[in-house]
Amino acid sequence: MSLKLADYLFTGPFAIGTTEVRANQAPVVYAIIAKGGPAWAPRFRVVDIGASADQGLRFADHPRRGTWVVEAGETIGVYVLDLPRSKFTAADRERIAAQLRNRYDPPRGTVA
Amino acid sequence: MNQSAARIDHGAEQYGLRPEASEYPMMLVLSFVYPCNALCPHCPYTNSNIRKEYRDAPFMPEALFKRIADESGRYGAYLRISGGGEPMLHPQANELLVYAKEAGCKVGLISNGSLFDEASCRALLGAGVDMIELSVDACDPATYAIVRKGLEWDTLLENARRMLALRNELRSTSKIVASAVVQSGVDIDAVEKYWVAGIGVDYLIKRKFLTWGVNTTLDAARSSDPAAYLDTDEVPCPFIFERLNIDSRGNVMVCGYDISANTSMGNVYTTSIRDIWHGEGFRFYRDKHLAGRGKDIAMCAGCPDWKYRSWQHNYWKVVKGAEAARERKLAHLGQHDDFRGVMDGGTRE
Repeated sequence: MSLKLADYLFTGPFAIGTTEVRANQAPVVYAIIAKGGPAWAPRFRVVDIGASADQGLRFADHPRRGTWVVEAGETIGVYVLDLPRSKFTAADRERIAAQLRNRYDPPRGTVA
Repeated sequence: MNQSAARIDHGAEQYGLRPEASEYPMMLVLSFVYPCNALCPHCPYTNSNIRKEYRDAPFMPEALFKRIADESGRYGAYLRISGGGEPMLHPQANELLVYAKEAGCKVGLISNGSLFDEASCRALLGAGVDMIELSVDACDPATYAIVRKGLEWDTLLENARRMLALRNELRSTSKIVASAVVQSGVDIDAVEKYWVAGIGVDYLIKRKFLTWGVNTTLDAARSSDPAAYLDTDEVPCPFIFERLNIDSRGNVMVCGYDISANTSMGNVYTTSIRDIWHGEGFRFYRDKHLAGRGKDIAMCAGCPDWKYRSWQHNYWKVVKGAEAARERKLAHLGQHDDFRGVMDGGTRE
């Protein structure tokens, strides 16, 4: 399923425990999203936003993983935005992540 | 707003479930396939991640399709075969559409027209598929190459002409229409003249350019007619009162805006469509919209396409108009007439 944050289309949700961005894959900006509410009218809460490093990222080992807390009735997953090295630098990824954090104010902000 | 749009009434005298949808949806829009052989710049699937996300379910499985057809046939509901790609790429396309007709469904097929051969035309026309819509979007090869990237203009013409000739020869009940998106670079009036008066299709559907908002990266600036049909502060969205959408996994989405399937009204594998249609999810949406509070729902509030939906100027109007045109054409044809004469210009009309 897709989720649009600002003008960026993210893909997900992927399981936090098993998802990895490998060093030989396109780096990403990621959003940790908690989905709540009824299935027919879900609410998407932005729990965290960040960017993967050039050497990759295992979400299971993420230093902030302990802060990704779900509330009653929510399920949590990671959405990613692929940003290939041919077009985006590490600084670009950090800039986009900062812009999205500013807009969605994790961990309380929601995606309309 | 253009003059023709200004004259059309898009609201209704009263709002609620359409009488024909009081038991069961009038229309079930099926994501029959996700792969496509074209890369159209206005397509929400080409401009999103959705095809990638359905790589595990590229085609609607036979068992799911038949389950939907069996239940829908009892109500004579319309199966609208569209979704994320070219329906004729489905390996069982002909067989399943004929099955749906035999089960009692009405069938509306939306295709880019590139893959019809004589056998498929005979199968679909012979079964009386109710409406075959060719998404043409252009009336000349140069424009076609842009708006229907990856497809061949000559193939489209050959296939459309063959289908029309066979329809007339078989005196099939199938309506054959064309559609075009009203977008920059396309002369919509010229497209209508070419396809209706020239090629001889029964009707041209002029589609608003839609962006599908949060689902895609489409830019609304491509529209050449952004005038709204509905005042969404006043008028409920008509779709939740007449139709629903089903993906290739059997998930029912609330409407055609949610092509990413973020909503789940139920799943056809486990719940009857009738029960889903009358379930808590749809009641929630309908109650909110009828109370004038549709925008309390985040997805509806963010839907840029609601304003382009209409209670009057819609698919049912196309069905009526196309059927009248088909009847006129066939009434003027004798048993020994040259069917090509009709399709090349409608000179007998």
